[in-house]
Amino acid sequence: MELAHFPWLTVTILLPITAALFIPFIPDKDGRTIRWYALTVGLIDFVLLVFAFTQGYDISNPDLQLTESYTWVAQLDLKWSVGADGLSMPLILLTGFITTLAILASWPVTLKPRLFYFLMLAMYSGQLGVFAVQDMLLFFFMWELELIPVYLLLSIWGGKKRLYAATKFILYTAGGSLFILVAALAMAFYGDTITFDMGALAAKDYAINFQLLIYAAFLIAYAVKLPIFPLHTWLPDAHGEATAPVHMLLAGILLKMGGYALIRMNVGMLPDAHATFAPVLVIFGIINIIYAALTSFAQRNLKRKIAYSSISHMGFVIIGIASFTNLGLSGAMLQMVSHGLIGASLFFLVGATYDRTHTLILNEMGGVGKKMPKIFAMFTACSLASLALPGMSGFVAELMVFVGFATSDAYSFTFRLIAVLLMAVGVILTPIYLLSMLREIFYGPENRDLVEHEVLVDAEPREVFIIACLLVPIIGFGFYPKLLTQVYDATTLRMTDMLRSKAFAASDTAQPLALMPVLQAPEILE
Amino acid sequence: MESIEAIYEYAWLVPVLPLVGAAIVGTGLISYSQTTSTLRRPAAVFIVSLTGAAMVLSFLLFFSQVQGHETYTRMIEWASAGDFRITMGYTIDHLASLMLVIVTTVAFLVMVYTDGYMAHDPGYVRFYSYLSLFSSSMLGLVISPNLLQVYVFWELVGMCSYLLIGFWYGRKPAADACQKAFVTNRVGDFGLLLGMLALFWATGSFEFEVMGDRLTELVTTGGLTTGLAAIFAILVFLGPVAKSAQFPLHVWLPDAMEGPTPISALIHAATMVAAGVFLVARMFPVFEQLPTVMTVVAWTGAFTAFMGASIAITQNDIKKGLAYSTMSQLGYMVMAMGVGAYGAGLFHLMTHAYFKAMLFLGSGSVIHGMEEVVGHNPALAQDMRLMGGLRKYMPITATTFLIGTLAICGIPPFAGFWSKDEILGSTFEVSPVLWAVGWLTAGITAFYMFRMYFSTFEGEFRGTNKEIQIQLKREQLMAMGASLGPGAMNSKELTLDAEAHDDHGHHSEVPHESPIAMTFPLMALAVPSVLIGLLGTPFANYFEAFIHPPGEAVEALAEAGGAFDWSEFLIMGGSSVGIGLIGITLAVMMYRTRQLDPSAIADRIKPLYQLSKNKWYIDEIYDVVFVQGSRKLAKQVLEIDVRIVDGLVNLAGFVTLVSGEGLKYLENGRAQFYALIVFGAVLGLVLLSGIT
Amino acid sequence: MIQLEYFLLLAAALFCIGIYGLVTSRNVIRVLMSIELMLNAVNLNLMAFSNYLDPASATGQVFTVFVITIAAAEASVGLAIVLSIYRNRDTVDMEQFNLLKW
Repeated sequence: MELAHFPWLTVTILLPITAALFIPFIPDKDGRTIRWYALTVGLIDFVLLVFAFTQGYDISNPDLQLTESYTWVAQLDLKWSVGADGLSMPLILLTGFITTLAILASWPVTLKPRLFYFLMLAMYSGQLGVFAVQDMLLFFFMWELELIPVYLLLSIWGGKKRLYAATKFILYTAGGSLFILVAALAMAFYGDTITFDMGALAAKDYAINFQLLIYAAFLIAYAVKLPIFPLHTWLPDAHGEATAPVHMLLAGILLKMGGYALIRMNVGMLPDAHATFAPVLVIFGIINIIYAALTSFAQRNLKRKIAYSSISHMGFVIIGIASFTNLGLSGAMLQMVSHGLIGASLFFLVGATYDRTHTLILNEMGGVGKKMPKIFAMFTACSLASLALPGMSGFVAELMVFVGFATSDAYSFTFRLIAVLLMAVGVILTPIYLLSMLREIFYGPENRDLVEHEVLVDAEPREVFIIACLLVPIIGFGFYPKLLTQVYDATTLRMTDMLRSKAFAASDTAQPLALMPVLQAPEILE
Repeated sequence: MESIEAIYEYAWLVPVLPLVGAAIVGTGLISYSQTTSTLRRPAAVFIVSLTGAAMVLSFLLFFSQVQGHETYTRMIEWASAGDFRITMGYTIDHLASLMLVIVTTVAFLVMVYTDGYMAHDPGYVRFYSYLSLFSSSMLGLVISPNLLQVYVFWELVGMCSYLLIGFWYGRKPAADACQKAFVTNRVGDFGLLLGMLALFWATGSFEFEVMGDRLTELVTTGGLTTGLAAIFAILVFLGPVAKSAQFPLHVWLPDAMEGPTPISALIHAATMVAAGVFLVARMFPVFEQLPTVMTVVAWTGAFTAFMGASIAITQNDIKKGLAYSTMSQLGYMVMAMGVGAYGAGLFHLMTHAYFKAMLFLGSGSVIHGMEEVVGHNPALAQDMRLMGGLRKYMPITATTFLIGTLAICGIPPFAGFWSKDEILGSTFEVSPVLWAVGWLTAGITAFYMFRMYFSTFEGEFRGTNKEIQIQLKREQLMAMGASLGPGAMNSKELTLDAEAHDDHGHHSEVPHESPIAMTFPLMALAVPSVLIGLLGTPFANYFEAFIHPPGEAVEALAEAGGAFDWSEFLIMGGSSVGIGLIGITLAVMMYRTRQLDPSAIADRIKPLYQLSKNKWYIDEIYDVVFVQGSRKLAKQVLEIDVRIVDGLVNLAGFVTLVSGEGLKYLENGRAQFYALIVFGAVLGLVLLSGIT
Repeated sequence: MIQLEYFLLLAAALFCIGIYGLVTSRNVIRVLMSIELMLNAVNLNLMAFSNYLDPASATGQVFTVFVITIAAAEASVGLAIVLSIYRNRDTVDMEQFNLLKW
């Protein structure tokens, strides 16, 4: 098989789960061999992904690349069809990266290690599948494939309220996913041709009422995943009870599945409905940012605090998607990747701190920085990244969303004014909760109870390595965002052009809420 | 000369060299912390030499600019999305080169000073890496060619300030102060971001001159109302309000004194706080077209100047007094910008950088000496009530402090006189009321600065006075106890500072002069404090010939010389020196010769005294409104989330359970019952299909 | 000729009596007897329709023979089950057969 036609994506998707099937047969004591096995598999898969990216992916090509298609049920046009374009490629690479690091972060797991690593590798496959598949039913299948491993990972290795959290997670997400199935079937059987292929579905022309219904259905499902207020309440529980490596996956990758799907389906396939719903998305995005920042501030449990901060950051993604500009969409993509990295680093550090202090309640901590200066330094760096300090990727992402939305000609001036004002309030709220968290954990005099009962050791080289691995792209993309934006720029540009041509052409029939040309501002971009 | 061109091409090294130093030392600290912490001197020498190299490069650039080299700009594409491109790079023009020199010289001297000041501190190496990081950020800021890049470095210096204020992270006041600084600056950044976005939306560019031109166009053609443009500009101005500690976002600066004195000198006196004034200067093409904005800027500056001075007269902590003095002087600079005196404001920035840095370093030297006597408790070592007569023990410090005090009071021929006089002169032409505020403030400045000088260096040494020590310790406890009220997060923090034990650190009965590492920078800074004012004298204003707003024609010295008016100069200058002398005389009478009794005067104007002592109660107001308010709001929102939004979810689960419990009674195990149900259902279906 | 409706009415009546007996009887033998009654009512129905609609092809009669056979088989199996239950539980009261209760 020549390199150009090697089924890269299929191999990388199926490799982890296949390798996981061998785990029961590996001789092992206390999980030591298993973890090296899992790490090796993860690394190999990631290397394969990078190799496929460098060899087979052309940055200037906005179409699907690395495509493969094997027919399964011809009458329904069901295929095993995978491909990567600008939207999926960064997220696929992110998945490989974060999941491998999460496996490395799982080193201290001693309870049922075989099952744990099996589930992690299963997650690896599932996540890659979601981003890579191009067939709707297969997409639904991969989406649902996430649920069971997460349920098990939460309920067996989680915190005190793990059973409640796991049940809530699986029921809530599965309930939302039902809408994906219904909508997918409706779309597939609409019109003359029956097809489940995403590209073909995007090319179909749907009646506007049909589009609105399908859009609403998809929106409910992805609003649960992303999450969008008010369908977000599973997240504090699920993330709050998850152990660190699971948390890295949950917040680093799973949330991005929602964002990716929003762009791929809602924007890519249903542009007219998007024009109607976009103001609603903006409003909910703003609510996400401010509401979640406030709840995070009030939260006294460390893991839940960071969980709420994830919701807040995803608000920018929503607004970027709804901005009708290439810049906004680009910013949303960058924010997804950036938050994946930053979130993973923060959750890992929270887990590392919890491993030492054995408490998640902020009041019971204090002055920890004296004994753990390295963790303190890393935590500070990651918190600064999270509050969008320039020089880190979060800043560029938020800036692009800000500028993209502020200069968007799809919204009236007043709407944008108020929206940008409220979004910027988030800029003030974020450091409040992050820095006060740092202050309560690390600064100040040492908490006597804590010091007496717990042994506070500083970071191991493994932990420093993980954070260093995460900080390199965070700072790298922060200093030179072009490295990342050029990967998806062609695709987002085309998607925005398509969206704008369809949505603005149909504006008289679609009657979107706030779609008004802006006051005569010169749109001269440098 | 081609070599000059080559220097411009390598100008990016100026911010990068300190960054490299910080990166190497920082990486060493995080990976091999034991080894790196012991390599104190080598790390210091490494970083100081990198900064020195940056300083040399800055001087070369500066001289080239003085000789008339044109503005050099170099940009690269940083991020792009479709047609939209953001470019980053650097620009070396007159203002940038001047700022480079100021920042590198002060940073270099502060780094040398740090070797003496932090010699016994376990975090010595970490401090140097932070200092280097800060220098890099500040240097990056001053060579930024557009507003976006300024914003980037703006936040970075804010971060460095956060790290440095909270350097001694084991202290609760330091932890609170660094967070306060960052959040307050973020409020300013909020305004700056919004203004920047708005201006970009309106003008399509982040470049200063382009923005100014296009904005003027839009306003004159009616595309944008003047009011809206003014709002945008004022939003941008919010950034400098926070960064340069103007009212109402000034509250972080006095608390920032929790950081070690070298950074108080570098960041909170000479450079970072000057960044706000620098930004106003850069935004001058935009601001000067909008008279409303200029008025707002001028009055903000004037009010801040007066407020800072009014609080400084009652402060007992030497560093807090200098902090309020800085706030006041920054007010002068901002006011100057607001009345259009671009050159005067920046001139004062330069002179202030040098003499304020020297004053702060001098205070650090004093604290260093006091710590030998009273221990490492800041409540004792920094309180002027425990000082006095230090001139005998620390002559170099005292002399340099006196020079700095004379400079800040505006006594000729020291630097402060020329710059302050320029400002007052320009202000008088625009608004006599503003001038009056500035003039009065000058008098108050002279008063409190000499109060500080006399309390610290003259009279008898009070450091060993046990009564005063006990009183101060009691005040400290009360201040900490007050933080036990609603909103304190951790009641376990009522421990007295660990440094309160004076068994360690109590070396001697009298203070000693500081080591050469500390006195050398003091002496080095004394030179510009005395002489640099001569660069901007009204009769031969080299400074204004060099630094002028962009777009204005370059008028050579001849113009400035021709417009010089001796009588005007004497009146203005005379009045400012006059009020300064009045202030000094008052201070002499109250604190040197004890002819007037300060406490009696304080009793007579008790409410005003309290207002001043409690910093106009602004901290308390902010605490109640913003700190407690946001905590309550957040708590409420969390309650809504947990009880209502999550409640609905749990309600769904509850309903499921309850209905399950209800429906289970249908499963009673009796087959006949089931048969009946089946029969009923079939009957129903038949009827239904019969009807429809 | 006797009209069709009378046969159907008779069958319906028998069926309802059978249902009533099925649902309300306490004794399981009675239930089985009621089931037989219901089956025979259905047989009546089948034969009546068959006779009136298409007497030549004896579809209904054939079906009836099937039903009779099945009824016989079902009755024997049912009685065997009842016997087994009786041997274990010592009762044939339907109310006592509620082990599958919630």
